[in-house]
Amino acid sequence: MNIQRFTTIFKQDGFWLMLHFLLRDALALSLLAFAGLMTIEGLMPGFVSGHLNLAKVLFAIALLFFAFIGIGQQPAFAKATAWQGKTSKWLITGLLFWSSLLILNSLIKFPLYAIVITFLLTAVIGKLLYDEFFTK
Amino acid sequence: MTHTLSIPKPWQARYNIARVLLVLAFTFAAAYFAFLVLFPSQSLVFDFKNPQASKNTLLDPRGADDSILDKGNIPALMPLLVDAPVMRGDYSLFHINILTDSKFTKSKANFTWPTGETTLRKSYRAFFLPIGSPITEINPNQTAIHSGSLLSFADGVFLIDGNLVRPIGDASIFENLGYDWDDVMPASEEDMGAYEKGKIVTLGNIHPDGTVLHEIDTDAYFLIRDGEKHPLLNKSISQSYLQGTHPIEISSASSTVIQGCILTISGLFSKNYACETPIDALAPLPGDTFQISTQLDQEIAFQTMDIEFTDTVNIKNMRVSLSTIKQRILAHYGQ
Repeated sequence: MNIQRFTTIFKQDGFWLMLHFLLRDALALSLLAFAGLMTIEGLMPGFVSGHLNLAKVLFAIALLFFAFIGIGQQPAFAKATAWQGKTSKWLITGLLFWSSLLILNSLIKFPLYAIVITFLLTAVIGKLLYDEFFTK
Repeated sequence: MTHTLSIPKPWQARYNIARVLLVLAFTFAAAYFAFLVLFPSQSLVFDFKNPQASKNTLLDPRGADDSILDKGNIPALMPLLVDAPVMRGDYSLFHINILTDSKFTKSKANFTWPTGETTLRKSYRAFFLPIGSPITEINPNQTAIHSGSLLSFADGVFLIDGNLVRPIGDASIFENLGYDWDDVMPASEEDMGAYEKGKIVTLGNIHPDGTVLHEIDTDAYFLIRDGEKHPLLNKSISQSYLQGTHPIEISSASSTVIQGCILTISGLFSKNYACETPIDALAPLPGDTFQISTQLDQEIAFQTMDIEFTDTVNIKNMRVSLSTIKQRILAHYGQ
């Protein structure tokens, strides 16, 4: 009787929706934590990697991501339309600012001209990739 | 008509509870990481069934008579010596766990479990070499580059070890071995080409022949040569071997300051010996290696030996860790 009750949970849309939102929250927290760890690693190279295997952390985040995508294939999401919202400008600005600081920090021991060239090249390549994948 | 995703009302309470638990889990993980950072530990291991395995971080298991004991068969009353190289010398606690070989114990009729103890001393591995004959003459070969010299070439620092030139792993290994940055000499390609390339110098490497040790409390000098520490009888002889460089500083107290604990036996199916002891008294002594001696009163066979160095959780150790972090950040940005 209990097993039957347990298995009927998996047939309820509410369960899959709840799991979907939890995975979204877990992904957000994981990516935030990973960003923090990469920032510390940038300030003190070898400090984080000496305590944690960052490859395993990335692997765990990838697993969460694929679970998030996989859950989205459930019938509970069949009626949902493609997401039509806009990404927060503050989020994009914040990400770009943080990425720029990390890149500059990794170049700190290079000569000034090398820093300028590398930074500009990174920005150009980033813009080209963004135009290719995110705009039509 | 657009359909947006939302959780049905019956599931919202469960979602909120699960969300709180998720945040608590991440907070706990962050706190655990902070604990690992503020109170670091170091674990070392030796697998006597796989003595050549690369995962063996405890070095050179041997008897007090220099017999090789890397298979784990320990004669009665023979101290088993192993060297434990550490990144930091100021840990507070030492814990040892030795798993015995059950095949050995089952093969012996009327076997009774031996009793024994583990002791630790701290210095450089070269300090524990046997004392050789004193050197009574000035160094006959006073070339600038010789065994024991430190050279810089390209982006690396190298150590001359006999006829080998060996790269030093990183700056922390250089400093842990007691070397002075002022002693590093720039080398040309010709200088480097005169030597064969050797293995990378890692934590716990024994200082090579030609290294001069200086006992800071007795003002005695020693030269490492052919696996022995040879006393250098006077200052002019010492200076002829140093040639303006700094000696590796050691302390005679490394022979006499010993910490230890009595091994206790436990375990249901596989018996293991374990004990724990504070090692704060060893922290001030110079050196990058703990020499661990384990002695039991009867013959025994070991399977694995696990050692852990940890910090006592207190404000003082936390401040030391924070200070180390600050120094590390300043060092990275060139201060």
